[in-house]
Amino acid sequence: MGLTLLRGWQFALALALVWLLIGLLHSTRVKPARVVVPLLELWTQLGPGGPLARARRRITRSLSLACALSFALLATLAAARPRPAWLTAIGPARTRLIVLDAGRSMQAVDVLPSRFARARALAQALIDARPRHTTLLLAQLDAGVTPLSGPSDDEAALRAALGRARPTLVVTRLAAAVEYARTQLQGRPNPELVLISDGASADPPSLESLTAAGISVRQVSVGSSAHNVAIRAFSVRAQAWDAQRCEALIELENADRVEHALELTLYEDDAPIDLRRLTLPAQTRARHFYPLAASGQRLVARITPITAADTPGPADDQPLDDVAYAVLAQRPLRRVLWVSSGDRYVEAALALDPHLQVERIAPSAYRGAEARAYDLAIFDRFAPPEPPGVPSLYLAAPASPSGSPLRVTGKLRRPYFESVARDHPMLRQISLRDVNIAEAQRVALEPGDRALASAAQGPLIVAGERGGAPFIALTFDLRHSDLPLRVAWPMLLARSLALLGASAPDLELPLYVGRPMPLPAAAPPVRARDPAGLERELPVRGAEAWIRPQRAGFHALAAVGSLQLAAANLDPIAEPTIAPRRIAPELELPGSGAARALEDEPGLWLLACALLVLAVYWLLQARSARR
Amino acid sequence: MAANTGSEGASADFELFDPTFARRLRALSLQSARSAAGAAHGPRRVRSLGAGSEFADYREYSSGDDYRHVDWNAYARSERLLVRRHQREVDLDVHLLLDCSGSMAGGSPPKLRYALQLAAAIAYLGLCRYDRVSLWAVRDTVAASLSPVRGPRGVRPAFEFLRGLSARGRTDLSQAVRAFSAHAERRGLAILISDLFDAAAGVGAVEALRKARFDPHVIRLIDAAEHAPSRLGELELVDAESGAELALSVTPALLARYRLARQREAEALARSCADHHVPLHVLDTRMAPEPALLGLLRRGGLVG
Repeated sequence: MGLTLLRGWQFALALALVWLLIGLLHSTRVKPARVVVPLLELWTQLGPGGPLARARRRITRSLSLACALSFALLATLAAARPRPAWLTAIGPARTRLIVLDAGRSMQAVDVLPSRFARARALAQALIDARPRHTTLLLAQLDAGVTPLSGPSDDEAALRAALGRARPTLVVTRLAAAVEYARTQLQGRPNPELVLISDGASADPPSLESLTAAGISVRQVSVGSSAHNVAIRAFSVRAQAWDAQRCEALIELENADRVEHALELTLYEDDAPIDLRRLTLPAQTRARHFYPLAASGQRLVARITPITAADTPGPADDQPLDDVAYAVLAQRPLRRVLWVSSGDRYVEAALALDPHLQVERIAPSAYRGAEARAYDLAIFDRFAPPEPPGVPSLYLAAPASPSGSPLRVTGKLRRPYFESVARDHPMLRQISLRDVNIAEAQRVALEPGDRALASAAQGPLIVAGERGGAPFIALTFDLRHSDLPLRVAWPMLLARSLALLGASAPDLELPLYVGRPMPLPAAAPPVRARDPAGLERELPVRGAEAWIRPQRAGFHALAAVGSLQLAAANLDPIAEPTIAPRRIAPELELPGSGAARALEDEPGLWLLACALLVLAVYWLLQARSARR
Repeated sequence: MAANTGSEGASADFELFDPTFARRLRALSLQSARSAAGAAHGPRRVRSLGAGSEFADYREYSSGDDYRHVDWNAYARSERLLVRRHQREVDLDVHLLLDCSGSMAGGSPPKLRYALQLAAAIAYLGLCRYDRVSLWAVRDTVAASLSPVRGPRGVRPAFEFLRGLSARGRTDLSQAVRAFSAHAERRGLAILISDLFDAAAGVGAVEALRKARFDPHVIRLIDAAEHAPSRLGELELVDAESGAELALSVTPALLARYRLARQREAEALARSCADHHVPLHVLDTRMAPEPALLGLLRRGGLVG
């Protein structure tokens, strides 16, 4: 039998010293009092005495001494924390991998304080009640597996490792846990994977590979609610010709099985600017466009459930996806080369956009290379001798062997807009049906070109790319139509220029938590400050800096000579459902650690026996010392 | 004179008594003398008529009376023949038997000391009345004795005798009394002072004294702790006289039986003494000797 706290000789020495002390005390104890009595004969007649009493006293003293020595032995042995061979004998060894789901859905608050906190407590309970001869591994799971500990039976180390687990905003991929378990547990004795999870995963896992490898899988379920309404997308863009207005896109999804009533509030630089009440049916997705009077840079959308006093509605148990962020990019000044002999309608429409710096040159003055010095070019009834190399808008460009983007094959008489790509950003919410056109070019499209609006005879508005630069072409002369007289004309012109100018280094591209995104970077260093104020330098590879946001909110990006703001939101790739799902048989949680402590610590039993012996000793002493 | 002899006798033995007791003893002697014989001092007078020096009474002459006893002066006055009668003087023998066995060493205060104080006081009072006082130390036989002394001059030898006594040895009062009876020349008052732990032996001793035509009085000394012990537990009991040992586990039940047995013995002794008209005085040694002695005097029959 091994001793944990004392070595063999130390134990023997301690016990010998204690016994010696007890022996000395026993030998020097006060003998029974001698009392002189006048007439002993009377006592002899009345009570039992003599040899019988002496013998009983000797026995009592011997018992007391035996109790004292036994107590000393038991107590010393208990203090030495013995580990008998039967306890440390090699039994059925087991290996258990505990994977703690730390993904986004585990931050639901249907279990207070959160599902993740509850899961961590359950993991702690599993560590405390670790079965004998069981080695534990700890890991946390989101989109991938992060090991927290190696194989260990050191409960203190395991507890410390569990303390390092942190929830993330990334959607859980249970398949990662399966793969990790297969590699870590293969070849180990009696392997078992325990998933502490709500089962809400981006991918339904397949456990067959684990079963085939002889790895049993158990789940400890956490969470019960499916109440969640999420903001899946939120973006804004400025109006082309009105710097004070913008357009917002919000996509909401009700992942619950019941209808939800909610309030949608939009904030501009922390001030509310819009409030709407909505009702979302169960398991529906809805997209809303809102024109907003906003020019600030930071925009936040937040939904809150509406609960009436008399009819309380279901709560939203996942607060993470109830808020979304968007940056209204400040539009830079763009230089536009307008090659035209003059057109008041075009000139007036261009003047509406304060972010355009327009320079007009006559077609005769155009040599071909000057367009490259501009951000955009507008060729009004003019075909450049060669592709300009910059985004360009062609207004009834005549046929040209090389400069015109489209090959003109004929004419269209009195065409009218029959088909319009209303989903295209240029043409959304623009009515062109009753536009009169006297004449238009019949053009032939090349592969990759798209007819955004067409007459029955052929396209009227075409978008494509030439020489690596995008173009939009109107196949009719504005003077031969009443389009310039329509309300749609300035909007159409502004949108076309906005689309053509959107190839600039684009921080308006959405950032998603957990997803790496490249950003154009002229040169390192590029530093990013997250919504919590933490700054770090982004890795730069080539002309791109890579950012992988860890938090939703506004991130400030600083490069040499520039400072820009970007909004990061939760990755919408996954469904916002938080409904728990059973993915493996439930693991029965073990009893309290106290019961196992008793089982695994013989010293406690020894201590109990020692206390029992002490009680017997006290009784013997109390009887003999009674006065 | 008695006062002088009393003070002369008592002043030499203060170590046996504390000064307070000695003063009280002198006062007690005067008080008891006045209460016993009125104004008379000196030898004890027994009220019987006979030969003596003190005129007591007249009676008519009857044939055969001695002519010398006829009071001729009274005949001259009354022309009647009257015979003078005188009080007969009788000496009282007071025998003090002191139990000096080992059991008398026990108690708090030691019973022997208490007995010595009582014996000294009784002897003093008797000597002040010119009784013949003899002291006997008894154990299983007569261990020592003091020949009868009389008068105040006997106080010093009596006290010296008492001071020399010690408690040791075994008790056999019956045998001791028989030995005493054989040695005592004259009968009289026999005052036995003992703890009488063996009550049966005490009854035997009293019976022996009666048969020997003594006038027995018994003073039994009781120590409360010995009479009603309260110590419990494992004890080693040692006989005060024989030294025999007994290991005993004393329990409350055993103590109760012991007390009951002691009470029955005391009752038996009292009954026996009452049956034979033997005065039995039970004194608790917690009571100071002086009030105990006064109690004896008040009850009478012992000193008076």
